Amino acid sequence: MTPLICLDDVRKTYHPRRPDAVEAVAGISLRINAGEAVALCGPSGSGKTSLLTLIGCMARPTSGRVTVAGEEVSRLPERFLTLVRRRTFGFVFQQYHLIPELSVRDNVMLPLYPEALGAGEMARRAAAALDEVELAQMATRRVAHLSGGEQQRVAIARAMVNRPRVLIADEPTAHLDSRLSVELLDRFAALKRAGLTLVVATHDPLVCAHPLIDRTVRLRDGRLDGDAAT
Amino acid sequence: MRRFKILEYALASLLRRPVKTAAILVVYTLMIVVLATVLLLTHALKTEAVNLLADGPELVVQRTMAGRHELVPVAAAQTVAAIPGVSAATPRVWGYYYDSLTGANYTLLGVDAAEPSLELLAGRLPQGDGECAIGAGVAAVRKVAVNDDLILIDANNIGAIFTVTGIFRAESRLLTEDLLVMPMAPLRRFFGMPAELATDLAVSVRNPSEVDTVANKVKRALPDSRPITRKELLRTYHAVFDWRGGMLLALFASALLAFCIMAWDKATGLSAGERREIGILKAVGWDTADVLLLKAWEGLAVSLLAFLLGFALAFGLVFWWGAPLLGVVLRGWSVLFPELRPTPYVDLYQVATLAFLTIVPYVASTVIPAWRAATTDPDEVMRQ
Ligand SMILES: Nc1ncnc2c1ncn2[C@@H]1O[C@H](COP(=O)(O)OP(=O)(O)O)[C@@H](O)[C@H]1O
Ligand SMILES: [Mg+2]
Repeated sequence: MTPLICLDDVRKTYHPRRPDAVEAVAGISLRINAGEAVALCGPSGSGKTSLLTLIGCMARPTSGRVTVAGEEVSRLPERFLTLVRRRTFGFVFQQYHLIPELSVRDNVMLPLYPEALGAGEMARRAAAALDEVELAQMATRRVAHLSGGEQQRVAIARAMVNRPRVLIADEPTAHLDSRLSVELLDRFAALKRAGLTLVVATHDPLVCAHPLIDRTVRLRDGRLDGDAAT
Repeated sequence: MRRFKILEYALASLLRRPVKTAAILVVYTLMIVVLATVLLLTHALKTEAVNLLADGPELVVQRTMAGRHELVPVAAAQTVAAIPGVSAATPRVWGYYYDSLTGANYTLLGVDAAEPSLELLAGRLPQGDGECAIGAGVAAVRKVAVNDDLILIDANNIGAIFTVTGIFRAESRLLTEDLLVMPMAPLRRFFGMPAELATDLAVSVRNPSEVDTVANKVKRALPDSRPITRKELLRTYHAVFDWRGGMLLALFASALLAFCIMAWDKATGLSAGERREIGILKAVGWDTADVLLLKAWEGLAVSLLAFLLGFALAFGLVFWWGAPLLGVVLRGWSVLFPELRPTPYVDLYQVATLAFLTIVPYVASTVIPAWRAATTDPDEVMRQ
């Protein structure tokens, strides 16, 4: 079976040709199969976030190849890269990155604007996504008035609203207490059972050890430090 | 579909920043009001001048001496009438009168036969001594109505009493506003003008295309004459109004520049919040083009609304409220004219020019600063 995501000797250097150039990803090859749940573990600064942006088509590698569903995306022009990103990936950012002045529903609808959808269809999809995270009754509340855990659920709903194949989460338990962390991992487990591929960057042992994780990829200084099935 | 969705989002985000949006809208609207007022007024006054002169003779013959306007001998009318192509040459008696009582200038015109271009609002044309008809402006400043008496000081510094027999209709206000009409003979007496002299000659020409030729012939027949064609008069009027309008435009161009700088700096220089929002939109799958479209819609919505509001206000100001301040500057030459209400008229070419000159820079100043933010890789947003 061909993997859903394929990285071949991928490198990412921030501001190359400058004295403070940083090679955040220093030659990583990785395969992720559809339906798999992968944890990227490593200390802070080891390149987890950078690797996530490359996997999720948020940025292009400095060198190497990224293939998604058989298509080499590292070569695509920006417009198509955006399309692949929007249709294939859902992101839950470490800081959530919601627009605080907007309502919960409006935040969730953001990824739908570039799709040529009718107003009814947009509202329907947003409602369904909010239902999934049990926030339907908060749809009209301003995001700024929500608790951190609720904001994360809005971020998950927004990531899921385009029905992506892969959910990418960056340090999802960083701002949660242990009870909420368990709740979140249960939610991820449910999504995985529904067929979603999960890629989670974390340095939280609770996540790496969770039964939902099929594989833990260890990172150190932008390189693989071990790739173990759990 | 996608475009209108993004428009919807643009309008919503403008409403999300009501104070900022309103502030820009107010400044922008005021700017348009000023610019549009100058444009409309200049144009309206030019149109007025054309209307005014359309009723006048094709050719006016004055006499000059030492470069100054002199009275014409009535006998010169025969000389001119004899020139081939001329259908009639009529001596005219007219002049100006400074009314120290009101500080206004009136135009006094001698009329013996009924003039078709002078339509009376009320009453009748004056027929004998001691009678006159006046323009609405004169009636207003002197507070007189039909059958009231009007006292003017004649050339011998003696008060002369005239009974107002009629008031002119305000068809073309520029034409009749400051007018005072009476028969030729009493007007000559009033001005102290000898019977064998007239102010100038009104010449009608059989074939309008021959006006310039006729003017040359008049100049040859009467070397001390100065023939003025209607076309030349129009050109002078245009030049005067354009010059005044140009002065004002220069004044407001600097205001416009200041506005542009403000717009660039405050309105559209991206705030941290806006930059962050662009990053988020890109991260959740908006294309660079989508973000730029969003900004273009925002700019277009603001500038179009301000333009329409500003233009409507300017239109009302010029055509209904008589441009209280600017009109004085533009018209300048008579104190009676502040009452002027030009015929409403809009030149589409002018509207398009103004729209282009104000909307395009504004939209550009909205879109361009967003460009950088919209073209950076969305992974940057994950760093903040
Ligand atoms: N946009 C950037 N510009 C410059 N350096 C960066 C940028 N993003 C990440 N880095 C650097 O790359 C390295 C890896 O960072 P990151 O991928 O965020 O690691 P992690 O998520 O594991 O903490 C760090 O040294 C970080 O400072
Ligand atoms: Mg990180």
